[in-house]
Amino acid sequence: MQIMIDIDSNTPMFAQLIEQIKKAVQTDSIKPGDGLPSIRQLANDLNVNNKTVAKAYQLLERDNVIQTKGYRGTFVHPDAKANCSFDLNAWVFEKLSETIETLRKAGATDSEIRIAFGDVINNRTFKEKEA
Amino acid sequence: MAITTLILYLAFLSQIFLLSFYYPSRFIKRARYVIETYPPTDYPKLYPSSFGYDSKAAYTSGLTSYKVMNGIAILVGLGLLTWAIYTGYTPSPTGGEEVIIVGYLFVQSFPHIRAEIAAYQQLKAMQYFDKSTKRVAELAPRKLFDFVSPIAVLAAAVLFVSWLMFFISSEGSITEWQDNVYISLTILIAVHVGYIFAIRQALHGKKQDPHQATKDQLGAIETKVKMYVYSLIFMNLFLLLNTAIEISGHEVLDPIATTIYFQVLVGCIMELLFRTHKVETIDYEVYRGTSSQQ
Repeated sequence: MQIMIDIDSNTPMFAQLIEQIKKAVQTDSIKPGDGLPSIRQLANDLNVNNKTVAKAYQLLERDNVIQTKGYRGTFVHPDAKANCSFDLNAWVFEKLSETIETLRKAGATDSEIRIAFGDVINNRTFKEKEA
Repeated sequence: MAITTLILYLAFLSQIFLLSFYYPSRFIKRARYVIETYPPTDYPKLYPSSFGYDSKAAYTSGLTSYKVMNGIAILVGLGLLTWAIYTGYTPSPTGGEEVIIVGYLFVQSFPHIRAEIAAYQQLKAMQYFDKSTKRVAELAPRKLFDFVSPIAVLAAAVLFVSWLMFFISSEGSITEWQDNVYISLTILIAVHVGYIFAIRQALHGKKQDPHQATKDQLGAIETKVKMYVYSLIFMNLFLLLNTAIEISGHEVLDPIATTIYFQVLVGCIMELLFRTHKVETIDYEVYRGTSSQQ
């Protein structure tokens, strides 16, 4: 099973990696329990930075598509196929839409929501902002 | 003439023949086959070069200089042998004369070092001129035992431990050890660690040839890994033999053991290269393209 990345693509390389690994899982090209190449091996083969592959692996592990077993290596998660269908971006979009809708109903303007969102994402507390 | 002297002369003659004539001739034949079958006009990616540079001429002249350097090594070897026969040279019973064999091996290795540098430069140029934006990788881990038998790895490890124990026991109590014992141990352990790193690098290191087909990449890895593991086996066998020679007081055999060791080692590596990485089975279509694709 081969994966291919395009360094000229607008999609970041780590996202291309995630997409291709998920696709490989969904098409049964790789099965639960199958070993995956080490970060160093994959980065060297694709001639990309180790951090790019590490980021892709980290996000795949967070989504339970892959699992790292210490020195034994990285493997496809037993529930990888089910977890692949879970679209985190869609879930984030849905949750934010719900929250924004609640805030709008409470009378907050879009501008206030945007500023508050920026502050929250930058870990600024309300008190800090007021000060 | 003593039998050991005669064996040494024959073994040295064999070293000249194998390392400076037989294997270099096979190497030249292989390189010529590649350039004739896959010329730069049709396979420009195989001969990366700047505009207006005659790749074929450079490649052919490189092969000629390789041949000339091997010719010089043959002349030096035959000169040494003639001098030995003329002066009635016999190896010293106290040993230490394997230095001549190692020194001559160093002379014989010049053309191969030059060829390795040229190959490295070629791969660097391939990477430099590679304009493709798509990169492919195999989504499977590469493990040591996929490329070499566990028995070979075990044999290398067992032989190393055996030599280490044999060597330590032959040197007597640790309180009696001279500096040279510590130096020998440090160097040989460092060499083994170096081999382990080299194997790791071969397995997971950077792909040198950006165009190489996956099956050829795996083939090249297999050749390298086997080469390192077999080299370790031969090196430890040689070390065991060398220690045994020293203990038994037959140091006169040192130069013979050294030359035979190097011949077996180089022979094994070259046969491995020629057999497992056959030029006829390599996918050269990946190097096909127009000059503008370099």
